[in-house]
Amino acid sequence: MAKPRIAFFDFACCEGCQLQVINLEAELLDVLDHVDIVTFREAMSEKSDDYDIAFIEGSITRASDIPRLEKIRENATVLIALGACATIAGVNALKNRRTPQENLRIVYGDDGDKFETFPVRPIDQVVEVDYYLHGCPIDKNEFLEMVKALLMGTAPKQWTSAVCVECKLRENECVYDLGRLCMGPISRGGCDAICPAYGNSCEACRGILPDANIPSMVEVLKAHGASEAEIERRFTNFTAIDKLVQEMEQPQ
Amino acid sequence: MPASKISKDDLKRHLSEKLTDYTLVGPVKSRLAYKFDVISNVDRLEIEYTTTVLPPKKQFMPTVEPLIRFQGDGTAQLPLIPTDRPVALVALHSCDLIATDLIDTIFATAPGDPYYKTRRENAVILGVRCMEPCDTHAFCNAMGTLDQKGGADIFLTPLDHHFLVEPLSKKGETFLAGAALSHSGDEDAQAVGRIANERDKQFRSQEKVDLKALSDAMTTSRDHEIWDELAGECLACGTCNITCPTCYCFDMCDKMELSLVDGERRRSWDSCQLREFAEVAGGENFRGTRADRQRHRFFRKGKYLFDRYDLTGCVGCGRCVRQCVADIDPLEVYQRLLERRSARV
Repeated sequence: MAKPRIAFFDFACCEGCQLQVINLEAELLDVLDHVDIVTFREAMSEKSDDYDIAFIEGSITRASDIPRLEKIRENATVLIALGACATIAGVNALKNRRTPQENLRIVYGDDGDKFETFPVRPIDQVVEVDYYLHGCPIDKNEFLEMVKALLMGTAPKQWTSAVCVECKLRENECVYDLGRLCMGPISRGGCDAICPAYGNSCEACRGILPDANIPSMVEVLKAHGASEAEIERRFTNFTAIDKLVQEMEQPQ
Repeated sequence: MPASKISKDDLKRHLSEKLTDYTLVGPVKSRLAYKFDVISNVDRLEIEYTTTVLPPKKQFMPTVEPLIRFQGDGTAQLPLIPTDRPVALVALHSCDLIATDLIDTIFATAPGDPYYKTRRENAVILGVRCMEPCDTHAFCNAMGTLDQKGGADIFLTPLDHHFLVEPLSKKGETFLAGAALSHSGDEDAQAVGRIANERDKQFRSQEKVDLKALSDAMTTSRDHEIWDELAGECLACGTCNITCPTCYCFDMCDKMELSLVDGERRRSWDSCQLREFAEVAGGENFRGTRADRQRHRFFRKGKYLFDRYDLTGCVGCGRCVRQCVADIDPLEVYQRLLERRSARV
């Protein structure tokens, strides 16, 4: 049987998630026993439009991104969103707090009209996504598990539990007990609660869980002294607001 | 056996000597929270402590553990659970001792779970009496577990300068061999009584939960409005289950190596408050709403285990309510359910 052909692509992002893949130094050669990597700008010069599995990093921020992404979707049998920018819009979502015109003016000044931009969106608002690898950045071992599952034809694990689960399993003291706010109770896990484990708040980089109890979370944040503006920031640091609304509208 | 006692220093010395033959596990402090951990220096041990994040159950049922290793050639092996050194599990509160009894009933009674049993039989447990409420959330007194000795092999009662020592099993006696025990007189027993009286008044609720009445109340509470109210508050984060000493549900999955044919089957702690818990192939979910899941949680604590084993599924340790950011309090839930029942009678 021919090896599956894998390609990596990026849109608006820092390419840090692809770097995580390259960081799998000890395992990469074993991975190559099973797959051929045919496009991977960060690691090689060769390119090909003939691939089975496409990993997409980055979010969609301008009209010209759309046909490019649609073409990749057409070529690929399996399409995977790689990292927060692709899965939930990531930190790029911050720009949605302003109008595109304002953003162009702030970034490019008088030359703003030479560039195109529109409100940022995760890739599943443009094409169908088969699987998600969440996180900012992704966890390289989770990437490896995803590849193994695809090779074996089993369903890759898609996390639906909150960060609190892994946080408690590590016996971290609660970030709220440290006097800070934390999105862990309603944020998608899979990260082994790495931020709370080092005393930091969860910022929901893997997204808000689709059936999250948002009104209660807002009450918890308020009870711990968060202002309305602070609460909105917590919810939208990593998540484009329309993606959040779309998820909230799913049946509970 | 006549009552005996040991000075605090002598107990520490004895535990330190036991490090030669036993792996010592007990509460240690890490930043703000306590947790059970392996102890190589007895100075780290905190015998008088507020309750840990996770229950000591993790000692017998690790949060993640391999059940079987398998290879592509069709061979498989059970993992080796080392038993060359016995484990001394030190300073369990009464709530955790009773919880250990409960988990023993389920996992160590025939046919039993071999992984759990191997670790459990390899352990000697030292319980310690709580001389004050461990924190404001505890309600062990209401659940009837306060001062209980449950699965302990040795039960210690701390006084000012010494511990009263009660060996409760052969294992316990073996562990105590060579300890500098001395006779404890009536005045010690009287001191314990006095302190306990003062202690009891400090708990947040003075009323005992009638376990039989609670189970009966639940029978008619399937449609109680409280489940929707709890669903309004619950964040479905799973904390209550993960920190509970009487929860034992687990998930299983295969962790494959890159050969794609060798691997191991693992089990890991699970939580019935998570959306996926009751989801089956095809996407059907038997407890798809938070209300369903909260009801299941409390029915399991107050009814299912009680009906089947005559044991309370909630030992009042307070871990869940202490760590619930939405402040869901089991004692309040039990009281609400019992109120409606008494209103009806």
